[in-house]
Amino acid sequence: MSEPDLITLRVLGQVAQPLADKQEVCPRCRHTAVTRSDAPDGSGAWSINSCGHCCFSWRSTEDAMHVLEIAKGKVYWLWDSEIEKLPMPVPLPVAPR
Amino acid sequence: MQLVGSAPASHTIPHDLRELLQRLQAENRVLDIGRAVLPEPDVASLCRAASELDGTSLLFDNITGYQGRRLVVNLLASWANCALMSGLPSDLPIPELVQELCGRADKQSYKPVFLDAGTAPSYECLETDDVDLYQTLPLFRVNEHDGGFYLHKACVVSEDMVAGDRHERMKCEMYSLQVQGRDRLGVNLSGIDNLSLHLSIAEKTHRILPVAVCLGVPPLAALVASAAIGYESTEYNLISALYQRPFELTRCIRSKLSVPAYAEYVLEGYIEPGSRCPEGPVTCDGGSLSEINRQPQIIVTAIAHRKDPILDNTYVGKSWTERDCLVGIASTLRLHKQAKDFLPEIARSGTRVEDVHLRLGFCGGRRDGGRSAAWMSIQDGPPSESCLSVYKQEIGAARRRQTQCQSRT
Repeated sequence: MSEPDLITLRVLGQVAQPLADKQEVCPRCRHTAVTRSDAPDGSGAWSINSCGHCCFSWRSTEDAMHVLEIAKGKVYWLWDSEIEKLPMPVPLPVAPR
Repeated sequence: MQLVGSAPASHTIPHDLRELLQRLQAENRVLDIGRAVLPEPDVASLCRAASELDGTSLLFDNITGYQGRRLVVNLLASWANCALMSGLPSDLPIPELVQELCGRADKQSYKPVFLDAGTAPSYECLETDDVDLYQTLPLFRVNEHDGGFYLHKACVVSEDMVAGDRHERMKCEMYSLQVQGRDRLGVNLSGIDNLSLHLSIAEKTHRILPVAVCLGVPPLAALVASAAIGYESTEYNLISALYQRPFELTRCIRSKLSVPAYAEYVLEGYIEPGSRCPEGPVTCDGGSLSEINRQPQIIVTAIAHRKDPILDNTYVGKSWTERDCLVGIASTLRLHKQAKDFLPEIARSGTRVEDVHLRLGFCGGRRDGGRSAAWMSIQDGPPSESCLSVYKQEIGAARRRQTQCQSRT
């Protein structure tokens, strides 16, 4: 997903919260590669949602958007273009020419 | 138990996590949280409160949704617990505790022994199909803005793929791991640690890197795993020395790696070469939030565990934590080893050195304020055994800080 302009971002923000509540999209990267695991004791007390794209995970009983708020109170979203630019402490090997 | 130093013996050295837990319970040093608690925010909040209070260890056995799973946190978050872990009295002064451990480390006369996977307690139960970490491990979000559920006391075993039979290059070191999927773990690497090096070697030859993640290892093994003792020596020899008996290992079923036979969990898997995934953010020592990085990912192919396993995790954050205790003692062990390696060379060169201060670079400890720094003074003349044993750990400063934490509460 490419980085949208500010207007699109605002609209997405309005749409994203209800979607996140339904646990259909990842609240951080907006991808739908979300897998769900239920509580192991079968109580249905909660489920864990995990995004296969940006690796964010949250429990259904948590407010995922709160988890994503950083200290400045700003919601942290992670777009594809940002993922590519993330630091890599262990660099990939350089392919031989 | 035969003591190496002058410290008085009180017990035998606890064999594994369960034995230490029993001993801590007998001394009323573990708070059993029997009431039903939610993974978030209850577990994390209780961990933080205990850390800020006095480093009390907590045992959870009634976490909502994880009925029947047990979780212990802050197991070694006090010096008293560290002394008990070493088979020493809980009121032993810290310098004597450290001297005793350094004395044991000098006498590496024991080698690890191997148990059959069939008899090793860590392989009592085995899952190889459809592994699901979310179902197996009682996870909780350690800090509210972490990007996922972290395991902060994971001992990762890996080896140099081109070392052949040089088993001293098999490393067992502690890392923070983020559970990223049913069979995925993100590794928080710095790029200069030994696992990074092993991965780079494997990636250059386009090979997968087999790894084993050990959770709930015997307590002295956790101490050594956090010590970063160097690339050319394996942690297992030092663990045997600290236990003063051969340390029990067993072979993985899917690789030739050796893992502690009395670990609570062993997660076998591999790191795919040339793959990096977002990892983080995670709250670090001191309470700051890390950046999100692209890190390697462990793919778990088998989960072995003891019957009725206990997950050992720890709180990381602003207050005094278990990692401060572990890194404080572990750094002294490392400094001791470095001094043993290098001081004779200085003596041979005829250089007269006084008040040499060594600031250590930790791989997971507190970096602020030099609280974990260690130093030593070198006396006139060639260094002797007594000279080498004159180490002063700045644990005192850390201890004062812990006392301040207590007085504030």
